[in-house]
Amino acid sequence: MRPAPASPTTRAAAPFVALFALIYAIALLPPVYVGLTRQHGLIAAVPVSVWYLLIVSAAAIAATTGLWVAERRRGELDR
Amino acid sequence: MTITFGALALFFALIVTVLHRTNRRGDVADFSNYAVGERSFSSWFVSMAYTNSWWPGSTFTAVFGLTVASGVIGLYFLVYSVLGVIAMYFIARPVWRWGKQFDLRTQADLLALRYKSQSLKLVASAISVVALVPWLILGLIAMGSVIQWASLGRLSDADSILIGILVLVVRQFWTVQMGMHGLIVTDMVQGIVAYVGSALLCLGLLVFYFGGLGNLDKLSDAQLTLPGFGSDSGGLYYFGIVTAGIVGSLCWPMIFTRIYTAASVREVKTGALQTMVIGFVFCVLLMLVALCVAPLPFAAANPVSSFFALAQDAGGTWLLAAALVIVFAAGMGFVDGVTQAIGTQVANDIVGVVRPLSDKQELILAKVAMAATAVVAAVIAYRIYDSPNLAGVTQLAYQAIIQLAVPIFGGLAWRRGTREGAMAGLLVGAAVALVLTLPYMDAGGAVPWLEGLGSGLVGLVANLAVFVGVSMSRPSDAAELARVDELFRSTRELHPDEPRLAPATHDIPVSHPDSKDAS
Repeated sequence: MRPAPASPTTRAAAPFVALFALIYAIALLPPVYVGLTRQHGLIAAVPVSVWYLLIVSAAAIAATTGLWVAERRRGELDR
Repeated sequence: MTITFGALALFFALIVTVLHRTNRRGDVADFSNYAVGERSFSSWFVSMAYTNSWWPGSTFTAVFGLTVASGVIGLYFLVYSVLGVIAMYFIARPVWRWGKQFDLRTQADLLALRYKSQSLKLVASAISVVALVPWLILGLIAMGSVIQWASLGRLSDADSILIGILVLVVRQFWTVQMGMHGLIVTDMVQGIVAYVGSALLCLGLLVFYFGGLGNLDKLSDAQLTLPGFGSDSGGLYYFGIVTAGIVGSLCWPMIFTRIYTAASVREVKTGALQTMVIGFVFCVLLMLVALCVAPLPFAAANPVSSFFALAQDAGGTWLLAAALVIVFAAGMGFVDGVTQAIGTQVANDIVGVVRPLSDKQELILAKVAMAATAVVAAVIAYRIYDSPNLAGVTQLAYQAIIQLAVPIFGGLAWRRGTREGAMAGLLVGAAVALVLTLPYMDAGGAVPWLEGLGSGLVGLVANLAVFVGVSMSRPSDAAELARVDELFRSTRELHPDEPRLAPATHDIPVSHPDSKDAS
């Protein structure tokens, strides 16, 4: 019997896969986190190393929000 | 003492009142309702229950203390917590729909359905329960520190632990009686107090006590830098702890079960997003306070207690009482979730596999298991609360639990994964993790000759390799392949607005997970 067709979460999710991959890469690649957390200059009274950890987390939320909005618009939230 | 203990007593009375007001006779009429609360909850209840199970009372002691002592490395909790929830969004559809269709209650039920293997269900559940017990013990111990601070230092360590344990054991009376429905409803109240309350308290401290974020400039270079290659911890240490956290987040049974409590796939996805936002706001504010208090001598002297010390220094006994109620609320929700998950898994996934039980028998067994585990954990907590190796024990538990990720996510992503591959991978991965963790218990299982990479991740790689290798070398027969294909098709069939791709769900030749092993 032929396998069932591949079924990504939704059609709306497809463009977000690369975005999530990028966020995971920025969060987890040693050269990135080691390099960025060696930067201690202040931006709005917060060191760059702290900004890095905050922004990578916020980016994940932003991407998920974007996916949720896209799926809601296409009526795919229950799929 | 009257103010601090009075505040804790008032909050406890509030929770008991909420439990009684929301208790409905039908909630525990059958085991499914008892275990997953009728699959009836909105996204806000799902997200708050997840949050309560994810951020225990020890967040305010151990995690806060780690950030005070070591700096930005403490923010790894924030990163993996947020990134880990994304998986919940992507697996919402198959997991929730299979749960609804086949009356699944735990992650082990899902494994039994996907692989048609009761043996795998039993092994996965046994790993889960063993991994959860240390967290229950830690939760009880954390409660002891709340009691000690509430006594303003007048109670000894041992007495504080004992009283904290007794309070939580008394609380378990309602958890045992009322099941998941009571748990989810009180999670909402406890969550509002713990995480919204904490966010407000931290915001107030940053504005009125610290006068902004100026103290961040006083942190040392070491506190502002993650460990690199050649450092004592190793360049892969941060990668290891964050990756293990992301991979393992949905392996914890009390977290995974949240998917089944939701009313629909939409509620799971919305709940996942809300969980990320709640956790982010709460954790960022708490960590900023921890970084700001780090340069102060009283915090540096005792990092683990510095959240309470800061509250007392900033606002006297009243603000200390507020901080204690926040930690008490977070700790109580966590212990409830762990206890409930243990009871459900013992009844549904371990004893229920060895000897089939009726709904009523499962219900009784789950309650007995929860009560027995709470008592055993209380006794162990009282005996080992001052053990220096406690963190190592919990790390061992964590290295084990992430092994479940291969059969869970592998089974959801790869239809050709077989039960033999899943079982072999799980056993090999757990064994490798155990062998590698034991020599490095003091470092939490971080292997020094692998630049600090966690032993659990090494086990996970072995687990995955065995899973893929065995599945490819011994593929399933045609009937099993067809069954799994139909199972995946069925996740697209339940929504009335979607085009039909396969026979109606009741025609799908898929066995209930409680059917006997095919292997």
